[in-house]
Amino acid sequence: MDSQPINQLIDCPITIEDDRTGTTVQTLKRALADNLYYLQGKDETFATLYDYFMALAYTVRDRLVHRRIKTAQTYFDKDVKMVYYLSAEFLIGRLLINNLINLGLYEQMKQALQESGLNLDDLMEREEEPGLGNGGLGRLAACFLDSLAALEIPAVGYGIRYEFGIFDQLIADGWQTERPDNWLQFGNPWEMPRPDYTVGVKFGGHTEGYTDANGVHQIRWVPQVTVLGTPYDTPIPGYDNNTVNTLRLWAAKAGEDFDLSTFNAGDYTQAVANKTFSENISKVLYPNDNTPQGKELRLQQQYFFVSCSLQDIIRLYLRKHDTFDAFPEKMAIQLNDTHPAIGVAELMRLLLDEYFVPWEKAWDITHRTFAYTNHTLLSEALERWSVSLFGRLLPRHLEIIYEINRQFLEEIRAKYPGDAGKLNRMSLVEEGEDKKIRMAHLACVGSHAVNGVAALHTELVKKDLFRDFYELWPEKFQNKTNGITPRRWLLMSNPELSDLISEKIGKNWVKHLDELKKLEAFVDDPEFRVRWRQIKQSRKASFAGYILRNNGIEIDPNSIFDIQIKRIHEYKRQLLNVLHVIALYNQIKDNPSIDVVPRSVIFGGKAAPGYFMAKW
Amino acid sequence: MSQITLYHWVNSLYPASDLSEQISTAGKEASGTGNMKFALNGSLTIGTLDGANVEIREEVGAENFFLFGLTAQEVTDLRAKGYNPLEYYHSNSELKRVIDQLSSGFFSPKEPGLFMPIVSSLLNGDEYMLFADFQSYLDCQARAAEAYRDQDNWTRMSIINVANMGKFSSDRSISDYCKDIWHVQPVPIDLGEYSQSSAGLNVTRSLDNVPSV
Repeated sequence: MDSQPINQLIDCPITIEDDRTGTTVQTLKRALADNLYYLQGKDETFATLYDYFMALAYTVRDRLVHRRIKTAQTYFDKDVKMVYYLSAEFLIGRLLINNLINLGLYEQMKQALQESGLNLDDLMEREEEPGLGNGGLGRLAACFLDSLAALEIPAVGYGIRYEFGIFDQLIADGWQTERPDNWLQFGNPWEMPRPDYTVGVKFGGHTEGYTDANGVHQIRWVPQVTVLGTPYDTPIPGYDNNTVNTLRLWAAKAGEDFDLSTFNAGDYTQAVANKTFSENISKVLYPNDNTPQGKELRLQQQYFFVSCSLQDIIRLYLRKHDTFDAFPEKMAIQLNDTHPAIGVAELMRLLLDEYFVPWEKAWDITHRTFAYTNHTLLSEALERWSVSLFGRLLPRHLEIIYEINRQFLEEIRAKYPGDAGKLNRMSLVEEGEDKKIRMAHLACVGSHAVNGVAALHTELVKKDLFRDFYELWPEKFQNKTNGITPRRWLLMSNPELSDLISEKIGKNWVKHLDELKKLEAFVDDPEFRVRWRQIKQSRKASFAGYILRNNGIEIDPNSIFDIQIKRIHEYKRQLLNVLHVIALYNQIKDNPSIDVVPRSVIFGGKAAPGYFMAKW
Repeated sequence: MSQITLYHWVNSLYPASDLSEQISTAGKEASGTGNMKFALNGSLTIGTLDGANVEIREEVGAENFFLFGLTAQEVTDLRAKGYNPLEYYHSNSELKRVIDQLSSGFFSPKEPGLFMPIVSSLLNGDEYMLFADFQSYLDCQARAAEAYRDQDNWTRMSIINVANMGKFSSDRSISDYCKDIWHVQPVPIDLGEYSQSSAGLNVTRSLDNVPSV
C-alpha cells in the first residue's frame, strides 16, 4: 500500500461507502458515532437520549441533503415549471419516521441502532412535534407536500416558522387549559437556516409619486418599519424516489436599521422595544380553526410570509429569465385558503413598483400565476379586513386593491348594466360604516382557477358562496377532492394492517392506492377476515391499554370503539354525539336487563381558546 | 397531555376505531380528512351527507356506510321555512328527557346550572340543527350497533371500505391539481454514482455571481 504511486490510489474503485450517503448497516453505525461525536460533541460517556436522537436525525438528514442538492441542481439546470404552495399552516408532524420510511432506511437504521445498543422506538419518542397548524387545512398542506415529492413534482411549500405552534392541551377538572408549545427549545435538526436569502418586508408609512428617469409616473412606498424575513428550509423527501423538495418557512427578525432614528435620538430602550414588533410576527400560531380573529397581528403574519415568499419566487425566476414574460409558464402559485390572498396585491405591487412592469401586463401575469383553494363555506370564516386597519398597515396594497376593484366593477357594470345589487355583492370592498376588504373576492378575481375541496363543497361554492363569480366565469371553478397520504396514514400508522395488505396484493398500493381494490377478491376468504379482525382487535387492546395508563379508565376491547376526533366546533356537532350517549344511558337505566351492544365512546380534540361554546 | 403523547394517541387511534363519527350539519364541512383516515384503517362511518362523506359513501357503497340526517338542501329549505327546535323538543319525548336532564343539573348536581349555556343555545335557535337530526341519528346508531353483532359481516364491510379508498389518496388530489390547474410534469432525479475521486471541492465560478436555491 505504502509503495503505491498516489495516482493509483485516486483511481482505485470505491471500497467503502461514503459516511454521509451510504445506507448499509456498517456505514450507518459509523455515521451515528461520528455525528454524536462531532455535531453533539459527546461520546457514550455523557450522551443523553436527546443527544442520540440528534445524532440519529443528523445521520438521516445527511442522506436527505445529498438528494436535496441533486434535486435543486436538476430543477435549476432544466428550468422546470415549479409549484409554490402558500399556506399559513403546515402540520407536518414528526419527521424522523417519515424520513426513514420515505428514504427506505427504516430496517437498516433499526438494526444499526440495535447493534449500537440503542432502540429506535425510544429515540422516536424524543422528537418534538412541529405543531404548525390547527387541523385539517394544515395537515392537508403536509399531505400535499408528501404527495408532490412522491410524484416527483418540482415544488416548494411556503409558510411561517412559528416559534410557538398549536397549544398543548391539558384537561383540568373537565375543562380545557392551554400551555404554550415551545417546540423549538431543544433545536430542530431538520431545518437549515438560509440567512443569505433574507428579505425585507415593509409595514406602515405612506406612498408617494415620482417621475422615473424615463419620465414615467411611478409610486414609491415609504414604510414606517422594515421587518426581515429569514428562510428556514426543511427537506421533504418523496417515497421510494430521489426527489427531495423543500418546505421554506419564514422567521421574522428586526432589521439592523430597524430603529436607526430612535437610536440616533438616544432612546436606546425604545429602540430595543421596537425590535419586538418585528419579532412578534412569527411568534405564535393563531389557535383558531374556522373562526378567524380580526387581529392586526394575523394580517401582519399573512402579509409577512406572502411577501417573503413572492420576493423569493421572483428571485428564483430571475436566475434564468430577464423579463417577466414567461413567469406564468414557470411559476404556479397556489393559495391555500384566503390566508395568503394578499399575494394577489403583493405580486402586483412587486411587478409595478419594484420591476416597473405596466399595469395590464402585471395583471395578466398575476392572474395567470395564482390559483385559489377555498376551504370553508362558513361565512364568518372568510376573512374581511377593515379598510382603516388595512390602509394603516399596507397603504400601497389598499391603493392597488382599489384599482383592481375599479377595473373589475367596470367590467361587471358593462356586463350587467343597472344591476347595483350585483356590484355590491361582488365588490372587493364591503360597504358599510366600517368598510372592509373581502379577501376571498380578491383571491377569486386574482386567480385563474378556484377550487373547492369535495364535490358537494364545490357545488355549494358555485351555487351559494361565489354564485355571481361562477355566473361570470364558470370555467374558473373546479373540484379537487382532498386526500391523505397513504404513507403516513396507513403504512406508518398501521404497520400490521399494511403488512397483511401487502402480503395479499403486493406493496404497490403505497404509491398507487387504487390497488387496494384488489382486496375485494379476498373479502370472502374466512382466514383473511379472521386475520383482519385480529389486527383490529390488537390495535383496540393496545389503545385500551393507553387509556388505562393515561386516563385511569378501563374500557372493554370487545366493545364498539366509537370515535370522534377533530377540532371542537359547534358545526361538527360533538354535542349531538353526547345527546346520543345520554339517550343510551337512559335506555340502560330504564331497563338494566336490556341487551345492548357494549360501546366505548371516545372524544378527542382541541377548542379554540376563545371559543366559549366549544369549551363548554 | 403533552404534544408527544397526543401524537402517539392519534396515530394509534385510527387503527383502533370501529365507528367513525362524521356528523356535521350537512353543508358545513368543506371536505374533512379525518373521515378518510378512519376509513383507510378499516373503520365504518356514521355520517351525514356532508363534505367528502358523500364521496366516501359513493366509493364504498351505501350498504357499507351508516347514513343519517338532513341533506344540505333540506337544511337550507328547513331554515327558509322557519326552523323551530322547540317543535322537536315537545314532540320527541326521548329528546325532551335528555335536554331536561341537562338543564335540571341531573349530570352536574353540585352545579345545576352548568350546562345552561348549551341548553339555551339549543332551545333558542339550534343553529346547527341537532334537534332536527336527533331521531335519525339515534336510529342510525341503533342500526350500527345491530350490525356490530355480526362480526363476520362487520369485518367484511371493513375490508370493503379499505378496498375502495383509492380515490382518497393525496397522490390522486395532487395529480389532478397538476393536470388541471398547475400544468406541471414530474421531473425524476438521477443521483449519479458516488466517487471518491470527485469528493473534493473544485470552485471554478466567481463567487460574485452564484445562483441561489
